[in-house]
Amino acid sequence: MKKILEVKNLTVHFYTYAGIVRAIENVSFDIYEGETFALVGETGCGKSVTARAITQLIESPGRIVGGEIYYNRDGERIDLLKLEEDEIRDIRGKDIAYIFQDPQSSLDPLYSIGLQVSESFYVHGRVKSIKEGIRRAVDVLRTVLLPDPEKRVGNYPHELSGGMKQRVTIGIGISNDPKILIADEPTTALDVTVQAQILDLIKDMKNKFGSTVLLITHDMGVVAGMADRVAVMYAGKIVEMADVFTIFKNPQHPYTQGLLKAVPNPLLKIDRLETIPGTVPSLIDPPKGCRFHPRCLEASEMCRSSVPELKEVENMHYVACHNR
Amino acid sequence: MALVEVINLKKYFPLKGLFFTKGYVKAVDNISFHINKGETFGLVGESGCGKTTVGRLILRLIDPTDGRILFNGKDIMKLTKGELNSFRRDAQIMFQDPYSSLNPRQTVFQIVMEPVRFHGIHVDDPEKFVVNLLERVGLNESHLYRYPHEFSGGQRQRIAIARILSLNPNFVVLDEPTSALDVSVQANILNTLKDIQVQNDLTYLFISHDLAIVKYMSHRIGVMYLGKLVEVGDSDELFEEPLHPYTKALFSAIPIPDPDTEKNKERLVVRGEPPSPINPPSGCRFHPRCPYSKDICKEEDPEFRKIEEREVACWLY
Repeated sequence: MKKILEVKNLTVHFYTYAGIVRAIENVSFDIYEGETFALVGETGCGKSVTARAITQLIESPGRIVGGEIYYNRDGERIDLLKLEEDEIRDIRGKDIAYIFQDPQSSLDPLYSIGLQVSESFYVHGRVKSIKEGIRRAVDVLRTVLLPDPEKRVGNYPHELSGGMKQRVTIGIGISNDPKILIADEPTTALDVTVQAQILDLIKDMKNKFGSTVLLITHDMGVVAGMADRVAVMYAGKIVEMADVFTIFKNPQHPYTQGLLKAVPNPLLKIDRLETIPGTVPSLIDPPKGCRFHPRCLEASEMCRSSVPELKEVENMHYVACHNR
Repeated sequence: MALVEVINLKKYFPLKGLFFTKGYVKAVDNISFHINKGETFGLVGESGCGKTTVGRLILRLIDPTDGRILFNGKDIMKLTKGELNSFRRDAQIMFQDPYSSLNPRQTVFQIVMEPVRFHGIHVDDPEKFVVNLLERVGLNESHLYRYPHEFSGGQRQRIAIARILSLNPNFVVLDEPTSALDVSVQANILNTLKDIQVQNDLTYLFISHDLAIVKYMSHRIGVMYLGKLVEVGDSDELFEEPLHPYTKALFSAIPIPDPDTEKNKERLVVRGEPPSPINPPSGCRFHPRCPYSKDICKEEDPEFRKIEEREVACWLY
């Protein structure tokens, strides 16, 4: 299998009045061509920051402090973090496209959806005029199963429901046939029946265009259904990484184990959910050593003083824990 | 024995034009169910189905358009002033958003004591009384004089629970109490709610869009769609064999946190999205999305029918 994206020691800090927020620290992972790789974790664990940093989408006061991100395009190995603004713009939206959580705020309320799809063609030089783009937008909207695309192409975002809007943003995402599609909580704003439709659509698009998907989510159910490999993040670090079956059947890190037990499975009869004591730490002053140690039942002296490295415990199964 | 009985409840919100009422949003349309003493009744449905409106109606926070709500056998719309006062003590609500449901200018002590003061209940040692309540929900004395902004979302929900317990109610509406929280914190709050239910002999109406949580919390579940109750039944049985096509679709749409099940699951996919409750579809409100829809579904609204222990509103049965 070929690596399409290699993230090495990525570190992003936010310089706020309250102090330096160490949003992610030394995050490393590889994504292989054609797979769905999921980054999973709770609010503030740095999963979205990681996804945004890939195409330098970090805004002030945030800054990418260190690391390399290699994108392998036809034998060419490009460090995305070293590219100038105009070079990365050429890749963003074309080679690497995004779908964000809230379709309401990722669409411009002042322009018709056809124009917005068309713009993504036009900006990357796939069509000569916006008008030609709008004609092609109809095909895109048909691909994402928006009902009645010929009529809908002239609609404005407020005329569409949440699910339809998310179909449009997916349409914009796939319009340039991206190599990597980054879906950042694509269904969190939607109801379950609509969520099922959108997840099916992302799967279909992936199979149809053969693209690689980076899925960001907090929902373990969505991970189970969509992902091939999973990285679990906690407080700005990857704590465990493995294929989806290993993560669910044989989790090794105490946080992964706790997280899985805290999610009720409606098919099982559960008398009492197990819980993780305490709350997520502040990233301005994260705990020393392992960031999970204040909440961990297995914490030892070593966990309090030294930071565990992500190491391979078995083939392709990585865990960052001193006790493993 | 039923603590709460809802009979043919309706709530229409008028859509006001400049001079005339242009129509109604039928938020709750003719629903009936009951909640037994000591049980948790889960009300589940997607956004806009009217589940929160039902919760507010039962507490008489808003007045129904039609129908009756009996609390301990008494119609809550016909209570005397004194009876209403004691109803307001007996029935409490816990809100979704712990950031807007606590007064930022009050300390925890003031927040928890306010309902007690309002109802003029005498407490010998208020400080000890509040500390006692805080300890029951997993907080402690050191939190007494802090302000809400010093707490995390989960802790704020604990303060809200302590405030509810201060009046020693016997019925609590839990309106999406954990949807603003992360999973690891959510499990904690749910367990606390279960514990105090047993300790205080509480009856819950648990409102949520998250089926997995409703299943975990509830003894019986009612499924709502567009202002109507489509199915009511025992929590485990309902999950084992959902009858109504909407319930089936809803259950098959929940992502199960288990890759073996989830990757091989046959989904009952419904088309489209819930329509507007302003002009709901004729007949059965689910018929435009229903894979089994027949001619009669378009014309006539199905009655709620009892099949063994289950109640379901569908022409298939």
